[in-house]
Amino acid sequence: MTDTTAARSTHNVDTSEDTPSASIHGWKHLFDGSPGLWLAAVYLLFLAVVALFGPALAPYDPISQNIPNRHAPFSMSHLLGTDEIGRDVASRLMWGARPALLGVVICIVTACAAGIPWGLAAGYLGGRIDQLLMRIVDALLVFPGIILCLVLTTVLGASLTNSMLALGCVYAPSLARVVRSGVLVVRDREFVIITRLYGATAAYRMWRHVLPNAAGPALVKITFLCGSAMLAQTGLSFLGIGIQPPNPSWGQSLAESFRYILVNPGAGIAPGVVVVLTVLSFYRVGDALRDYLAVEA
Amino acid sequence: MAAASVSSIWSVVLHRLMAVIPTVLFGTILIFGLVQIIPGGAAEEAAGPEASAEAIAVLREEMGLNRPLHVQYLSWLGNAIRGDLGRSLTDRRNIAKAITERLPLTIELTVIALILSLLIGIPLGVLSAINRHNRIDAAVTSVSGLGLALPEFWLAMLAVNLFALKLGWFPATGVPSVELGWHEHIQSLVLPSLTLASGAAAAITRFTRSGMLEALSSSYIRTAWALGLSPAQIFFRFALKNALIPLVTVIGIITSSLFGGAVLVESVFVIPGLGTMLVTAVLQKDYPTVQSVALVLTVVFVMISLVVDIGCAVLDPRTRR
Repeated sequence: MTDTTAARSTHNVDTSEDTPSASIHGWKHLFDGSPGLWLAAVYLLFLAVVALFGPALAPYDPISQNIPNRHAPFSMSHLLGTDEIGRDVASRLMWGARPALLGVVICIVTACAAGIPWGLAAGYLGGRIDQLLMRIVDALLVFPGIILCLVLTTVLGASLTNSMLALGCVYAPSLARVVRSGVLVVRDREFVIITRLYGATAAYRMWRHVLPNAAGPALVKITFLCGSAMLAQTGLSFLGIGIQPPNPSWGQSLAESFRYILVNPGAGIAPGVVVVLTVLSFYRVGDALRDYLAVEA
Repeated sequence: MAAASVSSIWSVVLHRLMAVIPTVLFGTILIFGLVQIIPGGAAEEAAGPEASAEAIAVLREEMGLNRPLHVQYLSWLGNAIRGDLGRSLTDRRNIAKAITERLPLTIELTVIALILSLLIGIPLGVLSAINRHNRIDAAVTSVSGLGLALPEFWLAMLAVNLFALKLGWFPATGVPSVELGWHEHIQSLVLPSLTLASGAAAAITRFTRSGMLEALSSSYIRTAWALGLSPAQIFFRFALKNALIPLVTVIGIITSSLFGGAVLVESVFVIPGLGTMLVTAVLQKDYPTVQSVALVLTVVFVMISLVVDIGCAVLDPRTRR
């Protein structure tokens, strides 16, 4: 969050003498006339609460079986019914929110840790280093994320952390490219060059001036990557590469429901809807941020 | 500076071909290097936790792991170039043979999905751009937004449920080979390729729409309106042509993401393609197979991006540098 506020305030420096309250006011306009964005934000907030407190809120133990009551339909006692061995679907989805969001966080943190310095170095140092770093980015972007991720997971071993670390590495080059172009925009602007006159170090210049200006596009990219990470993560745990059973995860709920599609064809709907809403919400927030930042940037 | 002169198409082709070699070599080093960093070593992993020290030693020798790294790399690369990808750790099958059996089906699925996504995406994108800011545009934009957010494999599950199990229009699993009849073969590919195409079609819709909007706001289109050309001529003869150039540049990325989606869609429909082979190998820690599939896919993806680059150079002389 500190990064984003820094980005906002430095953007405003160019145009007007904004007071902090004015830039906070600026964020408010993000939501103007956009009920879809409100819904997306509220849903993501709800998801975060469930991820934090889900285990306490869930009405049932997500792994306790009740075979006689398997494939139960929607009811007051089991809001979303039960699965093939009588586990409460709603409780499993609630428990699944934590690894789902945790996975996205691991992936994004990895992508940022690798991609941001990569893009900063390429954009700021320029020349041959830039060429080499961007050549590697181009080479890596040729591969579809999920296949690179599968190969990396084979080496690291199948677990939620490993598959999301791998996914973070997969996303790093695309983030690096966005950061690099953000850096190129401001690198040679007067207010950056002038800091050399009063003897600022390259590291200071990078941290204080270049990075905040590259932060806007990077933030938009990161928001979209959150959505993609959610999709990829569900796909990986659907394949059995990711969080391991019996711990609940959304992708695995989908895989299990598919195994029993002949007995209980509707079972895949609830976990799928949860995933789609999450991805849609991330994309909606990304769209809004992109429009909002582009208007003023 | 000869910036104004445009180099001939053949020098562009030659230039791009030369750039393929370092990219593929970089890929092979990466693929080879990954297996070296397996914690505990590849032989120990392959032998399993209960293996005796002698068994591991035998396996190490058999896998050639006692040789220096650069010798291992060069012999692996040399064998791969000659078409020898070794044998699977789990079922001792000839990997190269398995890949040649399975790759065509995956390519077929991906190409059909690509064609479908272009056939769906381009008209929708044009429709949306022509009707900018009215209900049609809003509807197309919402549908494409949904298409981007739907996991292909979930859509595949829903499609199996509705069209295969409930209505019985299409088979739920497997793809019969062409020898058993073209009709059955194509029929079994309808659901997999349509569900696989969903995300790509949505992305192509978005690209076409923004490309069209940009073209429509340009000065030569304004001139065309002023000259009194018909809307059909302006939209299709002038705007669409220019709008499709940015689309060509992303076709490579879209194709490779289709390959990625194929891994999941193949699993849902139990299609014996390269995707299911990769997933099985990953789950069974069959390193030689994973390495080989990754290598073959590297070559495939590099070739796709080569073709796309050359295509761009042919279509848009400004990119020939």
